[in-house]
Formats: sequence, structure tokens, C-alpha cells
Amino acid sequence: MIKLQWLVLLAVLALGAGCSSVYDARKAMSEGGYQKVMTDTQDINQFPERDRTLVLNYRAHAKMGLGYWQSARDDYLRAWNAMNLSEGGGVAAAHWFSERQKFWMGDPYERMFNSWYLGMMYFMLGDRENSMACFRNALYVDTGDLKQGEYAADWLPTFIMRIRAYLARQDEAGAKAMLDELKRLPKEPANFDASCPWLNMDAQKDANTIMMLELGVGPFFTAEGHHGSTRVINQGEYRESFVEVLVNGETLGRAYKIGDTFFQAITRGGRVMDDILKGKAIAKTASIAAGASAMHIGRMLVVHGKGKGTKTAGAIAMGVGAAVMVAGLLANAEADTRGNVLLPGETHLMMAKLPPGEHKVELRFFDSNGRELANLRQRDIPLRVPETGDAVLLARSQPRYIVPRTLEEARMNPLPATPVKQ
Amino acid sequence: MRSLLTILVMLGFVAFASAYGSGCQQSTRVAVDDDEEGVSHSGPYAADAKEVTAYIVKEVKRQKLIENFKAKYKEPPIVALITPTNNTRFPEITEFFQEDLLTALNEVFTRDQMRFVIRESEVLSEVDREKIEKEAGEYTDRTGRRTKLGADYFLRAKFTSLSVTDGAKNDDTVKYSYEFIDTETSELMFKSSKDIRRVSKTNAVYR
Repeated sequence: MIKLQWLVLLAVLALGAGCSSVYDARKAMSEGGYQKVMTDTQDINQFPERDRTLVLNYRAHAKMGLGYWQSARDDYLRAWNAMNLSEGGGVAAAHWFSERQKFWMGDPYERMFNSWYLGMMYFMLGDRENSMACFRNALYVDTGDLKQGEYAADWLPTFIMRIRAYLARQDEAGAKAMLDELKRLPKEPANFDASCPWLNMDAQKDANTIMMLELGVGPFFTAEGHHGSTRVINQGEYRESFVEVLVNGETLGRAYKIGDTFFQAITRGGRVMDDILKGKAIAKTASIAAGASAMHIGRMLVVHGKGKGTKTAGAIAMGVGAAVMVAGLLANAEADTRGNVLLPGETHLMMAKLPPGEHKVELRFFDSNGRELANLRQRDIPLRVPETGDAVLLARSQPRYIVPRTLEEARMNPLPATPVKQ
Repeated sequence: MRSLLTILVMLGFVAFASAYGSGCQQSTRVAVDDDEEGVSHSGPYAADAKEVTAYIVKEVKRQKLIENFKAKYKEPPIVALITPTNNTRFPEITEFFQEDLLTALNEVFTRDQMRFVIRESEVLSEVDREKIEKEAGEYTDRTGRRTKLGADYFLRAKFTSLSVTDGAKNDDTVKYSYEFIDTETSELMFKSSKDIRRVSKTNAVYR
């Protein structure tokens, strides 16, 4: 019986080894904000290879939140390559051990957000062409197999920024094609506010200022059900519901919701991996039960059997039973709950035509009852409107983003000890 | 003794389980145009840049742009590279292809055959600053007052793609177009393109 205890302990240890926890970005944010996330993740190589793309997205987000756009762009690009051009890895291990053995590449909405932020970094740093490619890829990864009735891209922020990039090229036909595509989207209130006044060409051509305003926190995953084999997408909790924008003390009105991260997360259907996990959960239970039964029968034969042959058969049955049970214990059916927990809950849009020059923006956030959340108010956000082209502001309710005052600031290296591009 | 052995086996097993999937880090030098090695994907490869560049250089020669220009003006044409248009879903490719073509053209043609001017805003602002310093006597001016060179041709690239997926495969056809435009008349002197299609399997059980 001592051997059996060892075997069980062995199985438990092996299971534990396969499930080492991923970097807890949410905890780091509560302890020290973006600065802590950036510092913690300075050395990407300290993290398991399977988690590095997720950690790179965290680091990029932290740098973006601190106003280091160029360095954030480099990290987002590195993660982009892993999420779009690599084959991933660890899939075979995920079939037997924990699903977390897979290299994290993100759900479609997480891949879309990676391309989105990368595109925004390019755009705000003045590189319209590469931003265009990123916004296009965001739409691409957000589109399923249309022949199978899966969802088409329906996250408006990428449409809006592609329109801006087309107009920057003076390609009105391209901008119109995007607007036409946008008009064909189902008017789903959970996804966007169809009364948004800037979804037409005249409004787009008139505006020179685009504000993408992020509210709340995005979804997160939990493993529930039989052996934790069901991955549940949970909506993040937050109070802010809408945002009012003021420029130089004068109100521009309320911004319009154009993107809902939870909606994006739940509208891409089930995963192939869900069925595999369910099968693993059933096989795990069956293996443990079958192994225990075989061991019990074997023990009965060893203890009560008459003759050497019967006892030998009993010992073999015990051995086989133990092996089957250990295999069952080793099998891990728990769903992978790794996900980008730094994403916002919603994205709202404000567009305006402002005179060229320096401006100060103020953001006031409100709950669903119209009460202002005074602690979230943000003042004196710098906004420089150029003579030609767009001024773009990317801001968030909480944890708030620092907006660099100049491109020189945006290009600063946050970690001078290490090269920006790795 | 047996317990110790068991513990050692266990520790070894745990170490193996922990390290599983982490891979080992090593790199191998591979030829730039070898697209069989390395990560498999449907995006542009360095081999594609080499292929497109070789094709465009061949087309430039075949069109006899240089000979015709020199016959008319007795001087080599001055070509300005314009920022490429990237309509694909792949960022960063414009820089790589542009650099590859510019380098190849400079290697194939001498300054007696074709000259190039830079039109990148960062370079131009540095050139302007240099001129101001020279006028202020800070820097020497070797050849008397000169102005920036005007271009005879714009060389413009445009990359577009057809990108489709069914969840199991990524299918990307990228069209690499290059055109020479006469800067005086806006006449399209020559345009050529090369299509490269790549299909990669996505791991069907990845998600």
C-alpha cells in the first residue's frame, strides 16, 4: 500500500508541475499599476515559453498606459508575430496534461486587440501605412469561417481607424467602402450604439480629432464543471457606463459606445478544445474508477486466491489497475483560463473638429444612473491638433493612461538599461 | 535506499513535467532565401522579397528606362522612392521590401546609370538643418550653394492582399506592385507586379 501512496503523490506532484500559475497581471496592477507590470516583466525570458506572448501583451499594455508608445509598439509587434505568424506549440502535451501547456496565442478577440493596439501605436506615432495593415488584420482575425455561419468582424473601432487611414491617404473610395461595410453590420445594442453620429462620410471628412475612450475591465475566464473542463467567459465588473468629454472647458457631449469586449469574447462560438476537454474529463473519471476497481479485484485475488497462478494474476491486475488510475490522475481536463486581463470592458468614440494647436481635454465618467464617478475624472489631458491630419487620443477610465505631450516623449525608452527592440 | 531512489525518480519526473513544452533555445544560421526552414506561415518571407526584387530589377533593365532617359538628357535619371502603400494585413513588410529593392538597385546600377534621392521626412529635416549650419559658417560647403535634387521619376510600391481563412487554413495572396511615374508629366512609365500566394495550416485544435 505504501507504493500506491507514492504513486498517488507522484501523480499529484506531476499535475502540480504542469499547472504552474501564469503571471498575475491583475494583482500586479492593484499593487503598483502599470509601472509594476512593466518592471515585473522586464525580463521576458524568466517566464515559461508558453506564457511569453501573453506576458509580452501585458508589458506592451503597461508601456502604452505609461505613455511609452514606441516601446509599446515594439512589444506589441513582437507579440503580433507570435500570435499571427507562429505555429504555437505544446498542443500534444495539452491533450494529456493541462491545456495550459499550450503556447498562449489568445482568443480571436485578444488577437484582435493586439492588432488594434499595435495599429493605434503606429497611427499615433505617424506611421499610417503600418497602422492600416494592423487594422486590417484586426478585422481578419475577428472573422470566422463565414461559410459555416460564423461571425464576421463587427468591432467598430478598427473600422473607424481604417477610415481615418484611408482619408489620410486621400483615398475616399477606400473610406467609403469601409463605411458601407460598417452599415451592413447588425445593429446590436450590446455591441455598439447605432445612433453614433460619425458613421457617415460627411461627419468623417469634417472631423480632425478622434478620441477612443476605454471604460471598465474586460472579460476573464474561469474553469468550471466536470473536472473544470468547461471554460466560462465572465464579464468584468465596473461602474462606469458613459463618458462626457470637455475640451478647453467646453463640453463636446457624451461619447458613443462603439465596442464591447465581452460581446466580442462570447460571439465567436465554441472551441474545438472544449470538446477535447470534455472527453478528457470523462476519460479521467472512467480511468480512475476502472483503475480502482482493477486494484480492488487484484487485491482480493492476492489475499483470498488459492494457488500461485491466481495470486500472480491478482498482482498483475493490481499493477495494471494502479497504472490506469495514475494515468487517470495525471490526465488534466481543466480548461485553460489564461487570458489578457488588462483589456478594457468597452470602447467609446468621440469625434470633433478642433482648431490646430494645443488643447486640454477633460473626461468625466458616469454610472448607468447618470451619477458622476468623481474619482475617475481626468483633467488636463494634452491634445495637439496638427495643421493637417488627425489628432488621436487613446484614454481609459481606470487605470488611466498617461498621454505623452510630445512624440519625443512617446519615443522615450522606459527601460534604458535594455534595448527597446529585442 | 529504495525510498531515496523513488524520490529521485519522482523529482526527475517532476522536472521533466515542468520543463515539458518549454523548448530549448538555440539558433541555426539559415540562408535568407530558404523558406523551407523556420516558422511556417502565410505571410511574406524574406525569400519573397528576394524574388520580387530580382523580378523588378530585371523589369527595370528590360524597359530600358535608363537608356531612353540618358539618350534624351545625357544624364542618368534621378529616382525618388515614395512611401509604399500597404493594403495587406502584414505590418512592417513595406520597410523590408523597400530596403531590399533600394539596395538591389544600388548594387546593380552605378551612379552613372541611375541616381536616387531620399524623400523621408526625417532625412529631409536633417538635410535642411545641415544647410542652415553651412550657411551659418558652422560647416564647410565644398561645392558652393546647392539645392536639393529634384526627381525625374517616382518609384512607388503598393502591396495589396487577398486574405481568407476557414479557421483551418490561412490563405494569403500578396500582390507586390511597383511603378515608375514621370514627375513632370505624371506619365506611368512602367508598372509591374508579382503575386505570391502562401497557404498555411492553422492548428485546428489550437483553440
